[in-house]
Amino acid sequence: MSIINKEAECDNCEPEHKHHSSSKLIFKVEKSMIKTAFYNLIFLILIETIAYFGFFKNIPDFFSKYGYYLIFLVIAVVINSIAIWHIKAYRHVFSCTTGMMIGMTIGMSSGFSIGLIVGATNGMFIGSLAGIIVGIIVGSYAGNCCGIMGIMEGMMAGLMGGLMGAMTSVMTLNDNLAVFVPILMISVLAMIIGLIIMIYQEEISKKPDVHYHGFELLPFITVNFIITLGLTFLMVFGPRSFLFG
Amino acid sequence: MQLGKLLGIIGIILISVFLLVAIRNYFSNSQITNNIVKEVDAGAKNNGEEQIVDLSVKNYNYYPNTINLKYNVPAKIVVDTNKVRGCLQSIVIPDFGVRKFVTAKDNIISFVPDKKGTFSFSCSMGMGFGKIVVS
Repeated sequence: MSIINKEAECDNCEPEHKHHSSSKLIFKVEKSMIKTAFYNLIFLILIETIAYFGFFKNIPDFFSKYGYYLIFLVIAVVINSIAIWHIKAYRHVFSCTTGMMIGMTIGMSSGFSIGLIVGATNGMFIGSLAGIIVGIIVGSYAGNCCGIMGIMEGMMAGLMGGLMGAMTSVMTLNDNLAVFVPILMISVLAMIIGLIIMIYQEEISKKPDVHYHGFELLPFITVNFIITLGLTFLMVFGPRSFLFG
Repeated sequence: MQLGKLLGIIGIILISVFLLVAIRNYFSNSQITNNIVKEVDAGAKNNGEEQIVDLSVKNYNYYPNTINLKYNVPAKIVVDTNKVRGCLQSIVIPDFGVRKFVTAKDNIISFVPDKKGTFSFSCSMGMGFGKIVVS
């Protein structure tokens, strides 16, 4: 079946499953990704605001203890989830090397950022645990685009990132952690932007036939809602280490 | 595709439940509070012959964070090993030559503050720290 026939066929089918030649796809997915990231960010900020007024309003020193890190939790979830959205939109076109790179970057960035943020409020054990679980699941799911090598790479990077994030957090608790967290989040964002550019340059722009397979917004937002709210309640009411009195 | 629809339905249900509980909590004012204690300063107990300070952990750091001692009166820092754990157990006061790893059986640090001024103390990794003010 030719590309043209595929496109004609898919004009009548569901919007998340389309085939395009790469010349027609220039930044189409990336524009859609930015739009999804924006909706996701607004939605999660709204959820956190409702959670504050509904559950956390009476907690003393809420902003300095938790609120500040919850802002970065939302940013971390949006950054990492949108990277997965972008990768899964092109799921059938990756080589093994690119897949391993994807697994490693996403596993490390998600594990590290969640470990860092949860570690800042709950300490080493819970921070590492949350970072490792999120990092391994997200890393292996992202690396799945090229098979077992990508999955393994994602799992290893998730494990390492989760531990490193929580460790960094705990070791800088008394050494400007509040300043360090935004710097690290900007670094993670830079890595994710680099990954997106790499995917576009190395895979998408070189292929004559590109398979576009995006997520629907509601299931995507649902997964983000569950992860964000689960981690929020863990950070505020979860068990914490002796360091937190 | 089926998974996507299922997730969408679960999402709508969860978000609705979350909104309902949040709104109910907001209007009934029956919010959950956790047991955060505000930091209060504490100093040394002085019985004339020696000064005793109870050292614990609060807000990610040693508590009390600033210890006030009298010059040339022997000082004892009694460390609460139930709370002071990990690297914080290894306490270093360089200006008074103190470097000790406290345990449940040996949790007292004794020294004589024979210099006036403000001196720092910390754990061996520098993660927890505080000040000793000798006057």
